[in-house]
Amino acid sequence: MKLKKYSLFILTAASLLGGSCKLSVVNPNAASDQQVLGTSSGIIALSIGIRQTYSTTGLTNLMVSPDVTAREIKGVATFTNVIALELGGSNVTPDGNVLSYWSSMQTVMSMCESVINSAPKVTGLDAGTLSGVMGQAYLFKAMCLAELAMAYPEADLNTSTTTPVTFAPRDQVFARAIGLLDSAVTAITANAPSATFQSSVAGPDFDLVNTIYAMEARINLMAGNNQVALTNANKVNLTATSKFDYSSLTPNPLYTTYTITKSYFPRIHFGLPDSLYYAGDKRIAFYMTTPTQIINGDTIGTMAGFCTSQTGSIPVYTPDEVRLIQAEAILRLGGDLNQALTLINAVRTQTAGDPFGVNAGLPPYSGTVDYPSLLEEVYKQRCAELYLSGLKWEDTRRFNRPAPPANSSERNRIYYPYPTQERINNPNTPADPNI
Amino acid sequence: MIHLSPKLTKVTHGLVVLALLFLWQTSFAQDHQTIKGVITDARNKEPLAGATIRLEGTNYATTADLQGAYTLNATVKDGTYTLTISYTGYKPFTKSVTLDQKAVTVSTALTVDALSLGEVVVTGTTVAVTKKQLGNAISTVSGKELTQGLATSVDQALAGKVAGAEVSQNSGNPDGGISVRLRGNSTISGSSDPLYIIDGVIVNNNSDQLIDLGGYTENRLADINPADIDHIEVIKGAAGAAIYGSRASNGVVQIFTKKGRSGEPTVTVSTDFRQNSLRKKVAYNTYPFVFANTNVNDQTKIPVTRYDLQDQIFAKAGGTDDNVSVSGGNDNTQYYVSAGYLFNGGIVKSTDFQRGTARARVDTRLNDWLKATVGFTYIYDAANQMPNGGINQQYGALTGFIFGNNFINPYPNATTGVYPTLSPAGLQRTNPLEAIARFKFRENTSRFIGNITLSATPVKNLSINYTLGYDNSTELGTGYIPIGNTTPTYNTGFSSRADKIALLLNNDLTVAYKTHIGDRFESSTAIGGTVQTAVSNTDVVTGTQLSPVSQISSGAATIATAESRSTLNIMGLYAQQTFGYMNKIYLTGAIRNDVASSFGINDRWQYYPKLSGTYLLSEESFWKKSRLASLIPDLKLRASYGQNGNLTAIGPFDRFTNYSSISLPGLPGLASPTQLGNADVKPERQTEKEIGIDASFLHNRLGFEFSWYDKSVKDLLLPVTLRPSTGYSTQYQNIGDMTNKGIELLVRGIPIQTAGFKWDVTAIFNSYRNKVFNIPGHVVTFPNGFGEVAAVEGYPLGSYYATYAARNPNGSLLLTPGGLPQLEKSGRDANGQPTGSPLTKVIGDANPKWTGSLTNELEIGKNWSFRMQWDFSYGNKLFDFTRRVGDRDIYGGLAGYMPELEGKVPKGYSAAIYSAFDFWIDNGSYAKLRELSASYMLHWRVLGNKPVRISVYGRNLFAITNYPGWDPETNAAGQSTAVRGFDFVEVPIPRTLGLGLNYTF
Repeated sequence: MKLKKYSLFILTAASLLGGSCKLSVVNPNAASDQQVLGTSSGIIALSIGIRQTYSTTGLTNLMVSPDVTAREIKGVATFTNVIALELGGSNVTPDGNVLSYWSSMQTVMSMCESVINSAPKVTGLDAGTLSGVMGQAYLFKAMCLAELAMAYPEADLNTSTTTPVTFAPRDQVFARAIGLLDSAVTAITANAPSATFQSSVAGPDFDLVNTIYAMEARINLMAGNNQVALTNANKVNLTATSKFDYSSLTPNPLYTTYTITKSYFPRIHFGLPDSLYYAGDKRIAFYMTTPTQIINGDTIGTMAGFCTSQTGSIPVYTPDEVRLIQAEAILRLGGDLNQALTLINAVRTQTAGDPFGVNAGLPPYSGTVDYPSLLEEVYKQRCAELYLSGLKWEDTRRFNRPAPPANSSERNRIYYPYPTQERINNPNTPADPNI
Repeated sequence: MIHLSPKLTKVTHGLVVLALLFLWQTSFAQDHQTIKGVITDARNKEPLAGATIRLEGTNYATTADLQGAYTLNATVKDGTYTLTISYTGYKPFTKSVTLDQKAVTVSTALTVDALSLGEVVVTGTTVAVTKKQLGNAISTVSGKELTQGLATSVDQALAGKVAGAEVSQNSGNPDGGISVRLRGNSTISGSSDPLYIIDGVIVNNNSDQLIDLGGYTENRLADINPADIDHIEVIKGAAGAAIYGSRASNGVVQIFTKKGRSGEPTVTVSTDFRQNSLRKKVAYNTYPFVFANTNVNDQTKIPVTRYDLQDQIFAKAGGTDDNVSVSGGNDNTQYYVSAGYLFNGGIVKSTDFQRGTARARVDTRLNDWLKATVGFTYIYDAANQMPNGGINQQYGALTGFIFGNNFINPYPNATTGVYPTLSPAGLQRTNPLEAIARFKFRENTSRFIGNITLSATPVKNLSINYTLGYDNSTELGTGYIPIGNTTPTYNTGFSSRADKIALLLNNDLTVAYKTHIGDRFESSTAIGGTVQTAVSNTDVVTGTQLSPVSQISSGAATIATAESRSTLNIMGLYAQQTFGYMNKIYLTGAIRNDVASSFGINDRWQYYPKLSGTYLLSEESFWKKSRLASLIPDLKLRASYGQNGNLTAIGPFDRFTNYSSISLPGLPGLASPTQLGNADVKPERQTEKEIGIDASFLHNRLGFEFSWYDKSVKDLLLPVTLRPSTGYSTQYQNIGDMTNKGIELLVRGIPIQTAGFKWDVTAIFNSYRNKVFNIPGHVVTFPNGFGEVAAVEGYPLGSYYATYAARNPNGSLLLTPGGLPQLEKSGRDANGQPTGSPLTKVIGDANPKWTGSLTNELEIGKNWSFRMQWDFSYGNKLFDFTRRVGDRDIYGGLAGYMPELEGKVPKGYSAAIYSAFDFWIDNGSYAKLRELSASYMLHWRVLGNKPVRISVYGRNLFAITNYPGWDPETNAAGQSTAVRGFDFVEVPIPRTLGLGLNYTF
């Protein structure tokens, strides 16, 4: 039967035609948002991603641009953004740096918001793991908001892919960050982070609980809530440490910046005027080494500290920062001067045993014991102890240090301008600060 | 595993039912018939070997042999049939024959037809139709035209031969890539090269950058041997190509390979020897002094020796192209088997390209209603490459040349063998002589292309075709830079290996039926479906800090790897209906429905309509009866409208938010990407309107083909910059628009035609204007043009957009108080000097105002033939980065820096104009003697009556241009869609001379 033969031919052709095709092809290279946000394994992976992004892209910005602005390091490369950042003042805009700073914080915030919104909805996370990932997401979003408020007079409280975000003044941004940290405390208090959280998200060196209290202390101090700062600082276990860890696949960003690309170098004596540092301070040798060279009249050294190895860790906060927060809060609250002095001396006289090797090796404080003198001593100790942490720029505001354009010795800008890319695409972007 | 979408399943079932309905009413009586005859050229009575003889309504056809003789054996039932005899460039001959199992003889002499309206084409129609029925222009190129000018690839050979096509060779490297634009660009993000189909197989024409060679890449059409090609059909836009749906927005080039003919085995052997050489050196700095310092007020000079580095980089290089084919067969089965080997030496020392091809094609009749064609091609090619240019990497040889100081002795130290650095301090670039001597960059491709086509003619006039096409290529790129070198970034050694395996598969089923409705109407109906998939896997391993001697990446101290995989699935269905009236009016309508897995689920299925009409005024009886008929024997008006899409503008997974895999020590994780997904992306959509007029005069000895088109693309996919406060940086959105409006004209004439002499002239003229609109932020710049090339609102794509010199109102340069040019800025200060931030604007356009070609062919006596083709481009501008760098003080290797040394311009002048980019926009208009050949048929008694054709060839022999650089045709950004005319030390296209022999027996 020919008809049968024809039919066979057509049926064969038609089945070959339809034989291979599906239209929903799974991407084998990468997970999509539904796959990440709808599963417990995705939430755990994204929680690691939050910390990875903050500790690499984030720190590349937080620990570099504000350090240039606060005169701790010097930009030497001839790229236009480096020149503009180093020059400071109101005439130049380091747009590349401010875009990178702004965007990296927004990216981490958006990842935190994804975890905060999705983690409670997925199945398969035990209570202690859920409280851990929620606590970590609240923590990092709070840190991002604080970093934005440290560089801008106004910032967004949330990211949004749908509508252009609105901006809130920096005191409200700090308040929101503190609110998030309070949520973190509530979460970890209700259910202590589990062993699963520690092994599958935090790893051996990141201490979530102490970091939350340390950030409560740090950000409340910036916001002027000295009592709350003190209360939370007292909750931090000063024998514990919390670190960002690196590997050859995720290298230490400071190592890359200061040892490979070499666009920036440390100013000798932490870039401080003679009146603000102590000659015998052993922390100078910890943070920088030889050779030194003179570029455009400034003496610069070679970076050491937490930048010497591709896989070396960076502290999230240090116990000595917590001591200095306690001292500063006590002073600002009008508390016991001797109690503050004891804390200051604990930092000054340390000769060994600092968990991060940052030992000042100075004699005990011998100056006038009064409120303004001790407060200035706290500032000096912070400048040395917390060198390169990105905190000095904010400290210059809180300690009312000399300001540009009149005096650029301790900072060359008050705030950063908003990145052009935000301004072009978001009509709510506020006017740039004057300087 | 079958995952068939419900929609396609339904339609496939529909096709089967429809086909079965046709079969139902059939009777199957078949009888044996024979038709034979001899086909000659009416001009000189020479046989027309290769003329096609077809029995219409059946799938029986044959071709004439070397003596012009043919025999067509057919098994069809007795009756009256139409016999068509055709040959490219000649007016077809049709005759009604009555078959009753007695042998019939049909012999004829064909006359030339300058317009070729009777030519039979299949592209865009699926069923064979003559050109006169089409509402859109379609171009055909014969295989013979491709092999007369020493071209090494098919696309290279197309230059100047197709109206509406702009063919540019982007690099003069022996495997340099080629771009083909049919009626301008159709996209911004994707490739603008047309869809290539070889014997029904959709073939890979990717330009994969496996290892960074400074911008240039091979495009995979380089694998196809032009000697295997019988002819090519080109459709330029949506109006004609709508039935190819969402892959055809850049037009379609359909390639048909040679096939065997029944009879004694025929063997063709051809060989040629060629020599490539640098056509022109750029003028270099010969001034025997340099400035002692950079202080503009200090004219102190130091004597130096200048070296001619071009002499050390470029050299003459040989090549050969050898082909052998055997064909033959009987009435039922014909075969064509061929093998080819190409060696093409590069004019940059240490470069070459070799290609071996083997092809077999068998056409066989399985029974009286079913035919099968099986084709296999295997290709292996190997290139020795030299990185040049330098869009991302700076280790290239010519990069080192242009950034080098030519007053430093470039030769290696005689005892240590160490090469000196030629570049100024702090701006390290490779010593070009070291790159040539020590670098090893290679690319190998192993590729198989196969097709199986089944054609059934169960009933007269009903044809069913099924094609399975398969194209799998494995590319391997390796790069090795030994330790201890002058490169800027890899002085501890570099080794990289990149693999790509790419598979393309297509299944196509077509059912077509032709019939007459009464005496006056004819109808042809086609329905079809396609299922296609494209799969690719890429791996890259790069090692730096190599151990001595070891050339492999795993021998390195630092190793980085990257891998990616992709799958794209496409399905489509179409229906096309043509009605003809009295052989003078034809109307065609078609609709295609396409789906691709790369797009969002909501807009995945897209419809693409087409409508076209043609009116043959010269077929009207009033015309035929009047004197017009002898004056203008053919006059055709045509118009068409069509839409199609673009699947390749974005990758298969670009619509997703693809999280990045990251890790902390021992903790694998995921991080947000910079690109936000967009679930609603849909294909770009092109709409083309075309009207045209075709006419022939003087007894078909002058043909005229004119088209006007308006091709617009909506919903262009662009990577839009987002507010950072979204948490992301970019997103693909359907946002821009683009238009191309233009004309194309082809005039072919045969001024002299006698028995002993024929002169054939063809002129092609193309002109179009491209513009882009709705560009987000008005400007999108492209990184592979250093951000100085952009899509600018209201300007042509590929406009040069950069900073420029400040000028006075009268156009003269506004100089600094020191007398130097300076950049234009946002304002003027109290002294009238520019102040503020530098301004940018459109300072030039890569697109030519028009392009064209002029070809003259002469046949003298029986043995001599000559061919000359000139290609023209007018009004295109080049962004001359080569001159910009070479003319600058700190590099200073080109002659343009000499006036500063000679004191004719102030010291510091070249540095002052370095960023005033309007100084570096050059006119790239040219006229090139693209192809020149002379052939003689040598009749030797020992070879019987089978002549040997001896030819001398020239390619790119000569150029008339004011362009100061090496070559106005090349582009350092390779096959980039948006960045064109970007001259950044790209290797110029060589001048090639060749001597060839061709013998068929």
